[in-house]
Amino acid sequence: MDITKVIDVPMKDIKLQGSNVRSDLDSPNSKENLLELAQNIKVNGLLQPIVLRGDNGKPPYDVIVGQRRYLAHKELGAETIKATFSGEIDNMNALLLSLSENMCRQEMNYEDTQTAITTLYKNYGNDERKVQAATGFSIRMIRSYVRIEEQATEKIKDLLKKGLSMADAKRAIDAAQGDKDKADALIDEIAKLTTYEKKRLVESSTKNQKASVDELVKEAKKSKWEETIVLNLPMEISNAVRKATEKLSIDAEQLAMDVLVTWLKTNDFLLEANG
Amino acid sequence: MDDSKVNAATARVLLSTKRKSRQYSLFEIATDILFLKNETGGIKNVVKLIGISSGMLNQFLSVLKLPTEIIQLINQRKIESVSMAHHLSKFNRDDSIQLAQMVINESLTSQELRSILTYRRKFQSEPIKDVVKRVLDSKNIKVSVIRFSDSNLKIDLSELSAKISKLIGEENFLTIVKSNKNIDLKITPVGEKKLREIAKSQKISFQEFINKLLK
Repeated sequence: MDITKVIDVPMKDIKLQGSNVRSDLDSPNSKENLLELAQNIKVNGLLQPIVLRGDNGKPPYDVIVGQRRYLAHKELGAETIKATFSGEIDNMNALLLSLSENMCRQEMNYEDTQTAITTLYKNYGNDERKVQAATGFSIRMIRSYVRIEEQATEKIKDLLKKGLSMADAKRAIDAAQGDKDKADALIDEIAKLTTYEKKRLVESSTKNQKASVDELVKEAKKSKWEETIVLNLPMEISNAVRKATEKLSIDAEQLAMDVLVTWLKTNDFLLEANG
Repeated sequence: MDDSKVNAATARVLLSTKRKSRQYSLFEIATDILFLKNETGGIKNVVKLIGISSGMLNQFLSVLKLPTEIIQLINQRKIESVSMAHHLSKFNRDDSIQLAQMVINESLTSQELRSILTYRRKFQSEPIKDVVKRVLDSKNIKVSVIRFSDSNLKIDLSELSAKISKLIGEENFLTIVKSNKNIDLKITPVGEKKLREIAKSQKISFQEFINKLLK
């Protein structure tokens, strides 16, 4: 089958059966965008055909890629839509195709992305590298989705669907140290803190695992002193440093770091990275 | 597609995506990127053409969403950071105009602006100035510690404190702490900068200047 061949497919032969990764099409924002898209299609026509699952001639067809374009056609009362066919593919490949297309377009909501990533992760035997290769998501991002799926409380998962950031969800999970009630209490408090306070809250929780939510919040609200020790070098050393930085074209901080690392290694205070 | 126009726009964008020695303003670059996006059929094609991620290209494009007042500041080259412009574009009109002035007058950093944005989303009814104050006040305080040997100190600690406060301003003097044989002078980075400038104006090293203060 030629999957690039564009065919005018009757709209009545298409029935949405869930192959598309998007589920956010009912939100007010999406509806507004959909009407905009419909208007655009009315003026310019459909620039990119949609992708249907299965083979031409065997309706009903499900939409893998282009659900919004399909709905916009419905909105316009179109009788046909330009489409290509994927041929028979399994659920996992349909999910991948849909995910990769949708990630490049309008930003997907948390729930859809979470479902897609964790489904792929389980299907690939918990191998995050395979998910990365298939989706292009960073390992860090994949781990975040998986971790939240595994460790977040129902309350946090619910808040994520309503717009809570993944970063805040992770902070509450980290700071709660496995205590689910504490995580639920923390998530309410975290929302009221600034980014700097949130960072301190997680730091304090690591140092004092038994601290209550109130104690953690109180500690987080206290600004800390970040000290930088200023080294006063004798003139001859200072001149030598200047000479070295000019000759090596590196800055003094980098030179100081190199010297420190060399000294620490030579004196067995620092192991080689591969040692 | 007009190839000569596309080539010219591509060249301008390539010359100007790095902040240092940027020839064109952020607004001009954004206009070129939009032109290339329309001419080549989408952002993916611009990525191939320029070799910059779609995320970064979209940050440039967000400049076009900014109010005219901020575009003017951008054209006057008072705002040169694309991430700064990108963050500003996420605030409402009034907030973004006030914040743009703060970026210029009070040197708000891009990271601070991002933190303000996150906090603003939660507290939308508060005046933006209060939001900025709340966020900035919650930052850790950066302290420069100037350490010297106890044996070098020839005057009283309180006398040294008064001397330093006078030079850098009380607001930049934090404390002097004595531990073992060392004395730590703790001042703000602004205070450190002031001391270094004075040393430079006297044509002596920072070390020599500090030693002079201890006598």
